[in-house]
Amino acid sequence: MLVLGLGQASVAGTGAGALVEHLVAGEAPRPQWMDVRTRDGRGRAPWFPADAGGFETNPLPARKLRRLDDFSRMFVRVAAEAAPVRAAGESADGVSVGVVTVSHHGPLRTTFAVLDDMLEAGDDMVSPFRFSGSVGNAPAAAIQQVLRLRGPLLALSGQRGLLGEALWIARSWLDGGVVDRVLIAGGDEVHEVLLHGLLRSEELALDGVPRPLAPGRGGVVPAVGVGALLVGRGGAGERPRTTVSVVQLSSLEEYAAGGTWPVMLVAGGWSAEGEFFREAARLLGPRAFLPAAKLGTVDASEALMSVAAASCLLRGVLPSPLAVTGTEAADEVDVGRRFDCLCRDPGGRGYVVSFRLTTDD
Amino acid sequence: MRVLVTGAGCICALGAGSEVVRTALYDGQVPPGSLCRLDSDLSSRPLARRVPPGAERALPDADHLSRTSRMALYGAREAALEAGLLPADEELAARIGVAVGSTTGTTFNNEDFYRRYRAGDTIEDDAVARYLRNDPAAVIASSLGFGGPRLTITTACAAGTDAIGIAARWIATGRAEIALAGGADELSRFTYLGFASLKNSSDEPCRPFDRRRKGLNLGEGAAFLMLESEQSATQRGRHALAEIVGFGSAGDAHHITAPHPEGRGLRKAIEQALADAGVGPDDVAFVNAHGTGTLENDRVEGTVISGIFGRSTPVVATKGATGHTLGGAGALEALFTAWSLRDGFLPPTLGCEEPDPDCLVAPSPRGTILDGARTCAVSTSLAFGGGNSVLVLRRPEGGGAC
Repeated sequence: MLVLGLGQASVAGTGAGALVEHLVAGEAPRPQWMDVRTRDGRGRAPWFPADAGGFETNPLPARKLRRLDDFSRMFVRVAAEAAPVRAAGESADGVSVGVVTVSHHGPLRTTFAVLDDMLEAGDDMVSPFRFSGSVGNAPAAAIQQVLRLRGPLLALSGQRGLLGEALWIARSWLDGGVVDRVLIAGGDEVHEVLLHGLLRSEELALDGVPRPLAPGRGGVVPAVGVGALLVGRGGAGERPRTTVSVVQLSSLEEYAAGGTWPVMLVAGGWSAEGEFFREAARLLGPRAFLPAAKLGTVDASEALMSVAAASCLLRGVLPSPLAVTGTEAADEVDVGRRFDCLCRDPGGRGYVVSFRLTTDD
Repeated sequence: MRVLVTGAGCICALGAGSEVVRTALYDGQVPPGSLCRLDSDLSSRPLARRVPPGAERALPDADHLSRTSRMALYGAREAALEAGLLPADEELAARIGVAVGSTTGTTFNNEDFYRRYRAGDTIEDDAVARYLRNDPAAVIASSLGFGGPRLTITTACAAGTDAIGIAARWIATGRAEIALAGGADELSRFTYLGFASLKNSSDEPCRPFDRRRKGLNLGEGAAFLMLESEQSATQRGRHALAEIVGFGSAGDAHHITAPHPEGRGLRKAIEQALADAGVGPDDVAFVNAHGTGTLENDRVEGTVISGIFGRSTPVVATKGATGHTLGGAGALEALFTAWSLRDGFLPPTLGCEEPDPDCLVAPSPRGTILDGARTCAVSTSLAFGGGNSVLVLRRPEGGGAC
């Protein structure tokens, strides 16, 4: 499959270019702080909002965006960056595009807004607009409606492994001739109840510094973000092209010994997967990069991290040493032809989303 | 590769277990205690359908699990048991996939916790953690030891259909030999009040395709199908309930809650599913419609169905018996479709005594014997957000022996 478009919104700003600049630059972002309940009272919890200011120049119809909540609106804007339908001037009616979204919590803030309606205003005062926007497939539906895409629509829920599933689904649609392209968008947002939960479970980095490879707990700074890829087959266009494939790993050792390309580790500092990613970092050495060190941890982060990998590949750059796994000798890393994203599926097995440049048809 | 159904399980307002549910469905009997109205301050409280009190004790005793996960586990276990996979050989189980459709089941809707959180009252330690670990696909996979591909799908009212369609694709492409697929959703004040706010729910028993219809009744339930490649089913000596032969999906790209007025997405999804199955409208014995009992859904759906299949193809809608079980609906209805194909009997469409001529279809409030010459059936699902998903099932040859 070819990667035909990329889009993102995160603490880095909007657009693949902003993401690369952020990862290459040396500074770590400063978190914002939210007042939340703790077990015994109140406290502060760090988080990274998405800087969506760049979207103001995006030529999407304001009227259609108006009724969307922030979460769905962010998905739509990122999707529009990745999907060149409008940019190419093609009629939306003539383009067959499927949509797959991935999120762990879905429209979380709107969900709690509905609960707020119930508790504050009474049962009769639940907003139908908010309720509609709280459903898990709301971002996918919003993408279809605003971009006028009428192919199949899927919304997947979960934290890990779903980018691999989404790419499998995309390939099956493309192979079956169901669609010409597939837009995959994944991301999450942050709410104080989630931060409360992370405080109680001690996963939160209380000093606001993300530690994607932290031993034990306390490495996570939650972040808002969405990443999107448009994939398809063939067609005219510039060379070299970027292909994407999914590879299941049978062994981290074998994978690490296999080459010199750089690898983004989709490590978010979660205690349940720390051992896996620390081992990966040890084996990969200076080839391993940790985007979460500079972006925070978006819950369903694989799509955003993949956009980071693909974007760096296209520009032939590596993230800054801050994003490296504590080593500095990055000279022998070959960023020319391939950049991978190392992920972990729900069963604990590793898999790789691999981006490669090719001049082939 | 052929995709066979070698096991099934369900729980809903008709009861717990396939035998109980099928009997009630065919008899057109609504169990006592299944009709309810949730506690609320609504001036007009919509009718809903819950698992009847007598069937509650069938649910797994697991306080750490959400109600959705408990119902899902019940349906999944029954399906696995019928397929001879409970327990499953460890090596085989490690490759079995799980695909689950759910809406409420993946939403943080713990109203009681949130009320206490906001009020500053004492709150339990792990309410958030409990929500996080109640992914129904993860619960099933963990409980049954199934380690193959895993998905939770949240395409609202089409989620169960999508789960079956995707799992069937896993098997057809050789990604898995066996996969458990279905859907589940619980009744919750969150969705109850939400649908009431949309003016989509009725305070009377719902009437799919009836001219007097006033809206849907929310329901709760779970249904699961064990899907298996023909080769695997033959090797294991399993009988097939049905075969999944086609799947189609398309979006309306029209409105967040209302279907496209001409049903363009549904039409496309049906055409895709028929093409995927390699059959035409004349091969279809009946259509199991989404049939929610809302004004627009039924009108649009009926118009599309009659336009493709003609007015003589029987149509059934079962939400008058089960209520609208959201993520569970597509899976329940796929199971009902499989039963009807096998048994040659179409259950009554409860609530449709006076078919609306504007809907262009006329489901019967009485059960009917099917013409056995046609071996396929179609099950349609129309979702919030404009998604449309369709399955085509076929009656297995030779009585289902593999």
